[in-house]
Amino acid sequence: MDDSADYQAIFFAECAELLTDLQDRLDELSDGTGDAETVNAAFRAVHSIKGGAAAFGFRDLIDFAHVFETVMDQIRSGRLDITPEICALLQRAGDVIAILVEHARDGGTLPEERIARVLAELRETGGLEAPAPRAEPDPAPAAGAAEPPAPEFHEYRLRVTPGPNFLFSGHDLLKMIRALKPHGLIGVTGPETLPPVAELDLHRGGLSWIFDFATETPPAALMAFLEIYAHAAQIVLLEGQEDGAADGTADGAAPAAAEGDPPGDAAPAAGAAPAAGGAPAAATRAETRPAATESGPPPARPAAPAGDGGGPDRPRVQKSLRVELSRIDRLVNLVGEIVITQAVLAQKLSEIDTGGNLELGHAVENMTRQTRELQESVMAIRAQPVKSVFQRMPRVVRDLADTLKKDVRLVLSGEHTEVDTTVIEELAEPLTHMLRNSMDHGIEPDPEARVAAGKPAQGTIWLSAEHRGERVIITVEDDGRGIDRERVLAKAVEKGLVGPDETLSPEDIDNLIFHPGFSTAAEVSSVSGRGVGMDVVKKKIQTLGGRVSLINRPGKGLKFTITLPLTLAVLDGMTICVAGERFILPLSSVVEAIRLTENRVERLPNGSRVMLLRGQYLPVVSLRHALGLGGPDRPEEMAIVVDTETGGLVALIVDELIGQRQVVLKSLEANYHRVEGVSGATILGDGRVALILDIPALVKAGAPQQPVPMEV
Amino acid sequence: MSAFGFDSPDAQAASSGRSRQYVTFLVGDRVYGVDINQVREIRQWTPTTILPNQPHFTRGVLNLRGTIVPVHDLRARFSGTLTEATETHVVVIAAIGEQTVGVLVDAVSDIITVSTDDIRPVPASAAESDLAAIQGLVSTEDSMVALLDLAALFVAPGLEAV
Repeated sequence: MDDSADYQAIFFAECAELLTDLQDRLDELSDGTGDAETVNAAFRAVHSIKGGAAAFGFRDLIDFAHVFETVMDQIRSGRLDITPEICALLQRAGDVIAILVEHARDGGTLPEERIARVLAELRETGGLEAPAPRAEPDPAPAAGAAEPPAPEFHEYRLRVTPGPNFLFSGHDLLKMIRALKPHGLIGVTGPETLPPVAELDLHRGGLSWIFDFATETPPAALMAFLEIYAHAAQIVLLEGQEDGAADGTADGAAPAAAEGDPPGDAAPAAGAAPAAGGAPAAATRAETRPAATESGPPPARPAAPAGDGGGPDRPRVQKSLRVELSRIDRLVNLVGEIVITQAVLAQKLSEIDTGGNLELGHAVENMTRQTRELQESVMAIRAQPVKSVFQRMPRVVRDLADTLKKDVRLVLSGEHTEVDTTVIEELAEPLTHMLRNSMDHGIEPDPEARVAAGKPAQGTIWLSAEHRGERVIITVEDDGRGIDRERVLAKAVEKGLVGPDETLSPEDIDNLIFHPGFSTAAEVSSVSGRGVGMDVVKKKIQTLGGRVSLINRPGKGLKFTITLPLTLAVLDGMTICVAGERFILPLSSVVEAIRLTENRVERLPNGSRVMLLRGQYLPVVSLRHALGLGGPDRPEEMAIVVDTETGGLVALIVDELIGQRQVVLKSLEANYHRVEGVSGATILGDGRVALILDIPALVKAGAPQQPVPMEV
Repeated sequence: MSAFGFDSPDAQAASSGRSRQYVTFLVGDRVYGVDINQVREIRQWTPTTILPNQPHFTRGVLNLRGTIVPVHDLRARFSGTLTEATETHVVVIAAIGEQTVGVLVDAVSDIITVSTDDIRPVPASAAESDLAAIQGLVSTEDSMVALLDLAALFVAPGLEAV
């Protein structure tokens, strides 16, 4: 049971969620959309982090969280007003707490000076004295509710019954006992009735321990301290219920802080998030909470009762289940195979004579629908808002703004756009690179230059996400100086990437920044120098099946656009046949299909072909040619007009159109490597593999009149 | 996941270090061997789906219970001539690191146990680039077996460049 690494892992996973929540709340406050409940929620997040940290003894984290939550408590008690300065300070404090959590998890060096600075600011704002931050007990409930009762000696016992999720919540009975020793724990009695060893399942819980106390700490304060266990264990006060702790009155909540020993400093905070009752059942907790909140100072509560009355009183109530991704992946694969098997079944059934048995047909139809629903539900498990990655970006920008001494704000939008988990995880790195690039090279170093150029002194970077068809578009746009084409070109010539006599279009010059080893920074900066960066971004996005493009407006700014597939798992496709092989075109890019007999294909002097469609000439690409398949042994019959996203409409010539279907995307890269012009593969109803075509790449390859793109 | 070391065949082979087993197969009259720990299964040849613009010896991909597996033609890899695959040809499914590949051969012949001491190096004079993919030579009663390094044959970095 001493495997505390596991519990720590759980703690850090929880911390990640709590930090996300905290960041949300702080953002709301900064935007001015927050209210008292927002502060409460932020407070609870910090408090929960502190509670967990206390169990593992992360001193720095505990101390900082304590000061942090004290300041927030003053805000919610109305002692401090929510001003932009306070919001900015809270944001910085949020960053620091994230750093401290990372430090506790990964080790490494702490930015001591920065932490000390923020800590000092917090103390100053909160009117706390640095050396003895705990000397002033948690002000809010103390002020209104109770005069410190005279130290009194209590003897009582608690029955602690760890629930089934006790261990999984990162708790450990031994740690609990250690933490309680300073509170006057004098004895622990083990379970009276032990089940036979064969049936003993420590994870199931249900065993009880009796804790005996002889202490000055009143039971209510102790119960408040134990609130961090409340969701995982049943804790019942058995004897000496002197001050009616079971009722959860707040009078005992404040004074425990007086002694200020390490675990003890969790107590005042716990008192503030009033669970003095420490009531075992969730229902009781829900009742005691508003009651205790009421006991706070009246002027502080304009919005609080509304918040408390407004149903879900803490985000934790929202049930969620943490599941290993590998399990979901297994499910996804399995469902993918069911879809294929189902398709095979449907095809085989349609081939045999069922003797007019309608029920069979209906059953197959039902199954088709249900399989599809099953698949969508499974996919929905994997979909996540891009928020989880966007969330980290403000910190990146603030850190960099600090380092570079630039005043930059980041504007996020579309955080709720949902994308497959695997895509999201892979996004953080390229996005960070792009933001760094914008911060370092884009935004002008001195504000005067910006003002002179008619721009606000503060730089802005917009990061947004949106759905477009079956793809997600993510843009990173800044209002900096854009790419200096002359400099880029000079640099490229100097590095021998471009011949001195070559003439490049402005777009080609812009795209040079994606060239490996290219960096225009005069000296290598620690921020985005060294010439790794944009080419890495491009590669990364490509491995995700996406593309990056940029729009450069010199002097005005730079806009990167990333398009990504929504999911790496399913796709609506059009099945076509070329030279006897079947291929899938993503339906999202197909505009229309036309018979070649109805539209003439003409040849241009350079040999390339065009087709007239409703008064517009479209470039014609023969898939047979682009795919390097054998010569025409049967005439091509159909033209599929597709949208290439960047190059406008193109007509693809194919032999035959077979139909539309949903296909399960399978990776070629898993066992092979990326194939140009192919974005993946799928398995058809007959068990054969069909390739899914990457239209833009194919059109590029099949259009010989265009210069070959720069070689990697 | 394999906390209990279920991958022990590898471990045993490595720890004993003395004898190893190889699956041997025929291409024409040549005999090749692949470490038995790498071999996952043997399948009858079924037509593959062609991959565009790949090396000539890559015959395409097949569906191995839901995963896409590339199939390489061993004859074509060495001699340049494609195998005229029929139903009597077989595909050896083998693991190369994390990847699974299929190797098209004429027939599977045997499983041989070879002492590591009996594995002879390829003579340096035969320093053709393709021979780098041969780990060593073993002579059996009736033939010489060339032990293949599948990774060098089919996932060499040079082949990944598009």
